[in-house]
Amino acid sequence: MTLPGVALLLTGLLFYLAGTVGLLRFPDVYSRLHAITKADNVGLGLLCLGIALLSSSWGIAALLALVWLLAIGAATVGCHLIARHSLLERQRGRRE
Amino acid sequence: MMAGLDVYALAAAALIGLGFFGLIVQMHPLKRLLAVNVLGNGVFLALIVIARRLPGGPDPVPHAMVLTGIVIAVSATAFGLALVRRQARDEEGDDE
Amino acid sequence: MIVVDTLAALILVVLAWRCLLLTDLFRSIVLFIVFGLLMALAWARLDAPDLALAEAAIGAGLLGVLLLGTWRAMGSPDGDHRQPGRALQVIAAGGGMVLAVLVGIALHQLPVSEQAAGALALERLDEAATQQPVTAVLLNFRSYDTLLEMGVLLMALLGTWLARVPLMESLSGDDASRGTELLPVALRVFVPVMLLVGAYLIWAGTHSPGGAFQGGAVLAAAGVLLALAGRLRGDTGDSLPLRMLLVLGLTVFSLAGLLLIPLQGAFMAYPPTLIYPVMLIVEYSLAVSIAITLVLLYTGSRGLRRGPA
Repeated sequence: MTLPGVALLLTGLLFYLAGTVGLLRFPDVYSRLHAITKADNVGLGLLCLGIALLSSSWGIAALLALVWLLAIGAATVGCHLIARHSLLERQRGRRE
Repeated sequence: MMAGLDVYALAAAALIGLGFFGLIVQMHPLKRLLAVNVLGNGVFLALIVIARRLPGGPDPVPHAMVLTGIVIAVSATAFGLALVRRQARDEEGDDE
Repeated sequence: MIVVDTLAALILVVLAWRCLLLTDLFRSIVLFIVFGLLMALAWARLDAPDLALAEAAIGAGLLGVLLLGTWRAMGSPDGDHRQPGRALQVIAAGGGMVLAVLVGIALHQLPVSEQAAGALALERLDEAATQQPVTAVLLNFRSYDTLLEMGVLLMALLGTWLARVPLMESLSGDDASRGTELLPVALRVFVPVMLLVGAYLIWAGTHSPGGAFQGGAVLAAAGVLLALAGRLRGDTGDSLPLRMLLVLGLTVFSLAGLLLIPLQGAFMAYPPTLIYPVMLIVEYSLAVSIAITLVLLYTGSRGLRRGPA
């Protein structure tokens, strides 16, 4: 299980790299959020899958799945609130 | 334990020096609180680096001290932040 | 793994450097939060999982919320552009460098002592009825320290009350969290999970990394989340039950120490048969007090009440 595990870890890191580049290079809040939430969630999922394969234990795999689900949930809510805040700020700016 | 240099010991020393420098040079009260926290984290790191040298395993006494230290540091910082807010409010009152 | 350690140590120092020398206050605070997360990683690498747990909940979570909240309550200042005198800067830089070099040399030349208090603690772990050395030190071998630290926590809260600048009143203008369907759902999912994890961590402290401080911090984070979402609000009125919970840890800890004096003949010495239940009771009461103190340190108010759902 070592080889597929390591391959998954490396692919996950690639997604993290892409997300970070997007966060640094994209021009506005929305596209940055898009980059970081999408790429990082997939990256984290791949990392969890890779570690689960390396550990070859169902208990650890279940815990990692839970970690991934909670992280996705937190990322979704966080992203939603940041985008909403930014949108409301912009509307307020237009009204004034 | 590696021979010669311990990177975390070097980081602890650098954090203590940086915290000291920031505490004196910074004028904004929030920045000073950040500097105190960096200094504190340097001290925590130094304690844990020392704890790792005990032959029979990490020394639990510094671990316990740093654990309570982290909680005490956040409570002291919260108190400091309350004082900062109070100062800001009082200055606002003077302006009017 | 030396590469990972070197990178972590280097990034820690660079983050601290940028955090302290940027003029933009908001970016400084964000960098400080990242610094806290990296400290948690460093603790994990330094065989200190207890500290990693506490740091992730407190250093990166609670402290960041507190700093950002205060930053906004102050009207989002962008920092202070006043510069201290040139001479002072030079002296501070020189002093900082000398301090760093001396600490670095001292840390590298410190002799390894076999007579450390921790060696004794590890040797006599069986007497503490727990295989988790940090918990044994906190609740048993050095319980005086922990008792007094609970006192310090309470003093910080009293100081915050005296300053009379509750954070929650000044943070009323946030409408991003209002009127969204997602937040109530998220709270229903995350708050029970956080409470469960917190309660588990406190119990886990008896045999593996975890304990009152880490569990209390996670419980406090759940409380702060509720406060941020407007479900918990600061209240000006005093409430007796809340105050009793605040001193619960100190009271139970001292009472356990005092009531068992006739059995053991010393303050805070526990008979071997009672040690496990006493420890568990003390851990849970400490954690409740820590959690409520931290939530109140965040709101800065005397009491708490339920906000509109």
